[in-house]
Amino acid sequence: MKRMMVVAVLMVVCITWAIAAGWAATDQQTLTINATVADKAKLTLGTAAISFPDADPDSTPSIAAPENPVSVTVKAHAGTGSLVTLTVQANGNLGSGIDDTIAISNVTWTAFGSGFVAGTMGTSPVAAGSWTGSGNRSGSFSYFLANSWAYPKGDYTQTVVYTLTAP
Amino acid sequence: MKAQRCGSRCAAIAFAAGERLGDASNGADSGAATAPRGCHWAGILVPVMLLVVTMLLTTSHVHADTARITIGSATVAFPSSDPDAVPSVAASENPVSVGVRVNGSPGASQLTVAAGGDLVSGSAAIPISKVTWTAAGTGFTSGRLSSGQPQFVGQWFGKVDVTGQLRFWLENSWSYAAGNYSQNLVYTLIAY
Repeated sequence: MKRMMVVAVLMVVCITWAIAAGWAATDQQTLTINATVADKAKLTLGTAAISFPDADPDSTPSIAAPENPVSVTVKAHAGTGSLVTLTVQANGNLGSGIDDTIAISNVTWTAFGSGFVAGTMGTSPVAAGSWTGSGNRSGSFSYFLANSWAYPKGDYTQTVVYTLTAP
Repeated sequence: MKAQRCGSRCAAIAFAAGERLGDASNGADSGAATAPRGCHWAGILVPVMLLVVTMLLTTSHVHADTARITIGSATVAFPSSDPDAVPSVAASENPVSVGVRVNGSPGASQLTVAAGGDLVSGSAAIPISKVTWTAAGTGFTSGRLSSGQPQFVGQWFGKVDVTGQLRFWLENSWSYAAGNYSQNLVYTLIAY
């Protein structure tokens, strides 16, 4: 009797398996996805020019640019842990005509926003901000000119270059 | 001699095992000599072996040819792009053709896709859920990849012989670390 039960169970299992196996068919294929993220850097300044108006050095020892604050946006694709840097370098002193100059170091800025730093203009690269890895960062700079009775009369100008590096 | 003696009590090798087994287990005996012990076990093994053979023969008819999926490309690649200019990156291979064929007398057929994980480049990762696809063709469905469970791609009823097109998209972002990312997708077609 026990043997009969064993055989009956085996028969049911095998029939069920056979039927189930015959009812389902399958197939599989593999597709590989690749994505490239190259090093990339994008810098955006809120204005192309700033100007310091004429002012009484006694009442206005530090002249603020009317364009303050100037928005700055730094976007970068960089390797994990890589240092992203922003620097600024003046092409020379503020110049008016041939001989009159105001030392560019009289121009300073304050900074707002994570990673952005304040500083003093110079003819060598000066740090303006740093971050780690990829990201989209926004901040602002406010510019000031130290005023003085020693400045010759004139209209002064100079170009400064901001450089964003994402290695 | 032994086989002849078993022949009156045990199954004819192919068919009478159950009946003779019952005779043997109940001790029913017409007066002839009791069947040897080996015949009882033959009575158990023979039907089991027959069923196993039947099962094997049945499963040999279940072959990948009755359900077939073909994909027009082995890889899809998303090129590097400025996230501001290209917020959604199209795969260079778009559209990718997908062929589904089911023969025989099927009921429902279903196509799913399972990702092996996120897009990975060394220690950096882009969530696989940033990859979506749009679909064209009868029975095909658009969707978004997931690393958690297979996603539905298409469903059909009865015999199937269709070709659809899938277009893949990667949501772009400045937050992605620079690198070359990769991941495998497994498309599975099941026909019931």
